[in-house]
Amino acid sequence: MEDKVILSIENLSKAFGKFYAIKKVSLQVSKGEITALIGPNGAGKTTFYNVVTGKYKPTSGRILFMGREITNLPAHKIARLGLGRSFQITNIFLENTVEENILAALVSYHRKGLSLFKGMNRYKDLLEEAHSILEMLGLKDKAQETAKNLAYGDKRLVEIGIAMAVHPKMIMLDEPTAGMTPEETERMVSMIQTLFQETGITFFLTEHDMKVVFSIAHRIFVLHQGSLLAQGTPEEIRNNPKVKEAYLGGSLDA
Amino acid sequence: METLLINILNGLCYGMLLFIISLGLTIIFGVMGVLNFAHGSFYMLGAYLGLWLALHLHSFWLALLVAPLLVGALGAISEIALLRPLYNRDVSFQLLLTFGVLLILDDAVKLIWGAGYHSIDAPKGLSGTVHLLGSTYPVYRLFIAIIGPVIAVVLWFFFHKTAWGKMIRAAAMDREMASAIGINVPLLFTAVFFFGTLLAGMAGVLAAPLRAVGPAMGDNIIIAAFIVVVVGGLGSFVGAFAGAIVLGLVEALGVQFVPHLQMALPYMLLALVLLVRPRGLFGSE
Amino acid sequence: MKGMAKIGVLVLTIAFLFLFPQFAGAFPVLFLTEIIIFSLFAMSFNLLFGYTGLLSFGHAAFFGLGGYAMALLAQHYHISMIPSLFISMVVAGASAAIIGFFCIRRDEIYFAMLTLGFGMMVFTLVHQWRSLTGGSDGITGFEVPVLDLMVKKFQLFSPWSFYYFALVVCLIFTLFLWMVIHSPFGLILRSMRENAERVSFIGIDIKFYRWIAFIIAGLVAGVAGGLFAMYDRMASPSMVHWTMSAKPVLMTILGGSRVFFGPVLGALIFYLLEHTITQYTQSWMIFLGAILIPIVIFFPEGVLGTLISWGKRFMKGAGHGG
Repeated sequence: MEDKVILSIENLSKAFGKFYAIKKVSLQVSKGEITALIGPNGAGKTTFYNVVTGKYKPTSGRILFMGREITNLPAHKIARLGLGRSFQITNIFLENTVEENILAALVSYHRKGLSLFKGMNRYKDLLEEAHSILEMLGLKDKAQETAKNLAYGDKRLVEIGIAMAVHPKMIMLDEPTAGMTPEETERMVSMIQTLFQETGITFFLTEHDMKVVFSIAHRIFVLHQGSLLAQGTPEEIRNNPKVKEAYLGGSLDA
Repeated sequence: METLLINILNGLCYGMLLFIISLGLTIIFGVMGVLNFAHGSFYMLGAYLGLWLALHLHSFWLALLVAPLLVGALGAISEIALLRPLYNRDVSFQLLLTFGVLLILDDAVKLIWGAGYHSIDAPKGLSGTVHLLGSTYPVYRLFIAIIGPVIAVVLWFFFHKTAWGKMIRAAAMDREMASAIGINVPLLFTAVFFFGTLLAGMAGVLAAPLRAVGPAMGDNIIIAAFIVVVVGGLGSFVGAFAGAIVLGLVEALGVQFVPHLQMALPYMLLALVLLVRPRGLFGSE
Repeated sequence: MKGMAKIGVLVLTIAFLFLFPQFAGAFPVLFLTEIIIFSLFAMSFNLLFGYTGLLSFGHAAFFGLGGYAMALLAQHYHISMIPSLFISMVVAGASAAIIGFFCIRRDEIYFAMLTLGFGMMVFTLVHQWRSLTGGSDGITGFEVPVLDLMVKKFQLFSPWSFYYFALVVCLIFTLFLWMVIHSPFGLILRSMRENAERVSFIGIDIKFYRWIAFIIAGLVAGVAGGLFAMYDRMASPSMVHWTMSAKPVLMTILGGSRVFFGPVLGALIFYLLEHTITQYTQSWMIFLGAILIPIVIFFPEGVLGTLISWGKRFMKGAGHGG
């Protein structure tokens, strides 16, 4: 049991002034699964992500990743331990090329960042790895394009690529399909499934699209007004009356 | 002891001038996100225009009314003509553009009024000295030290009680929200730039009887005003007031207690505040 | 093809720089020396600004400290040129390490203000420490150190010999900066410029990287300052003042901060403007302002950056047409 848990949250709270965005949330994410965190807008999903990945310091509670306490570590140290993340708003290096976006993450993972004099283009191994990641994402032809010129869906893929390139043990995706067309959403979902099958990385994602959640998640947590409302398999969540109420019925069956 | 009190008065007097200047700077930054490098030059222009108008209109008070309006008008024109094309660009471009305005204004006053220093007497009724704490003190300085808080109160009412004032404050807090709730942003920006530079011009006129009016006066004050708004918290009304008093006192008391370090004190204050409170004394995170 | 054109322009420029003194009198040679030194100063600034996204308003501190170190060494110790310049560089770099330690804790406008604050503290230091620095008079009346290359010694008194020395030093440090920018470290810097927060989420301690960049920029600014003190035969407080810090800012944005040689073109434009205008009028600043404003408005990527963009668009258009 202990071994199966990769991320363990104990009584986590986060307050902004007097407002509690996260209230005493405890949950455990199992290794090698796709877990989803859902909840109506303003439920505190993004704040939860930001606290876990070190962007904000929690007000109280503990966060353990692979058995190690990461509660007050800075973001870059948490990332180094193998907890990667992507962002809801596209958060990539816009003026750099697509290849450079991935390379930056690889440079960090392989600890080449303090190499000051050897040209980047002489790191053939990193370039090859970047290309294989881009190939997996279906972006190989666009390697030399400036990231800002990509289509929205492709930018989101670069976002995932950066997160994947640091060889995470677990990856937290914040609304990977936010703002996407149905076609782009479908592409993203199959991409996540492919990545999951090929790498075996634990995925923990927030998602507003219930169809997506129920089709790929093994386990679901429901956050409502900062508190954990329910947890269980997709089937259990679908039939949970409290969840239905929180969503005012309707959209769960969409 | 007497010297100390006199220095405190001097510090307050200088602080109030700084407050009026910095308030314009901080409003412009808060609403538009532009750090106006030319702000000190608008202040200088206000001093020159005040001097010139007082001479020709034979009234300091009339000059105090007209000169700031002229400075504000010039500010509004430069906002419309020069800054507008740059709002979508990196902040550094706006900084460089206002630096260009600074260069032009600084040399323009030299061309118009010459490179020398000018002075003007304090207006009648405020020109003498009073006995204070056993020594004499210029009335005009007391006047400035008092008019600062008066202006602060008037402006506080403007910002908290009038529609325009509330709108400006709202926009200073959150620009995107301002445009979302349907505020005419270009017009607001022009109005704010007009008002901000008007304040700089007003401070210039008020400073004219107090300090030597010369081409360098803008460059000297702009850095001090930057320090005030950053120490107080960018975009903060209260911060500008507090920052100005703190800086005014630090400078005045520095002369008395640590004359060798006096030049460095404002910068030490700046660095200390920023390291301890990243967004200034009254800035919001 | 594009790479070849770039190399061609570079080779021609360097060839011109080496041949120029053969045909030019003392004044043009001195003039070009100053431009070259300021180009290096501006490029060192741009490592922070264009490549790391940090606007320093106190970069003159390191330029000035390099200059003062050089002048003091020349006045008191009479060691030869290369060790002197090396010490100046180390002095500037060490100061950058200390000042940078604090400044990199903030970013954007707050970083600019902190660098301004620390820069002006250094200014006060050199201005007030009369016994060491000569106060507002600065340090003058020293001899330019001998350049000792082991096999041969060179005197650098004449404008021509000093020009060549300054040119070689600046080219070496330009190459140094070029290598840094194109290294994995440089890629991390550019990524931080784009999105510092994202960089911390890939496991990079952004403060540490900013600090290293700050130190490198300080080291190179110190070299430029050392050269300038020798060129000017003087180290004065004006080298440390914020108005000196404004120069590389101006030059870099003028030339283009996203292009490696942007600051060089900016320095060239700045000096050519100053030289041309001051021949006709005392008030050159009004003209500088009047020229600066349209450049800022119409050249969004700086002169060189915008020209390159136009060139690319033209090539593309031509490619489609043919």
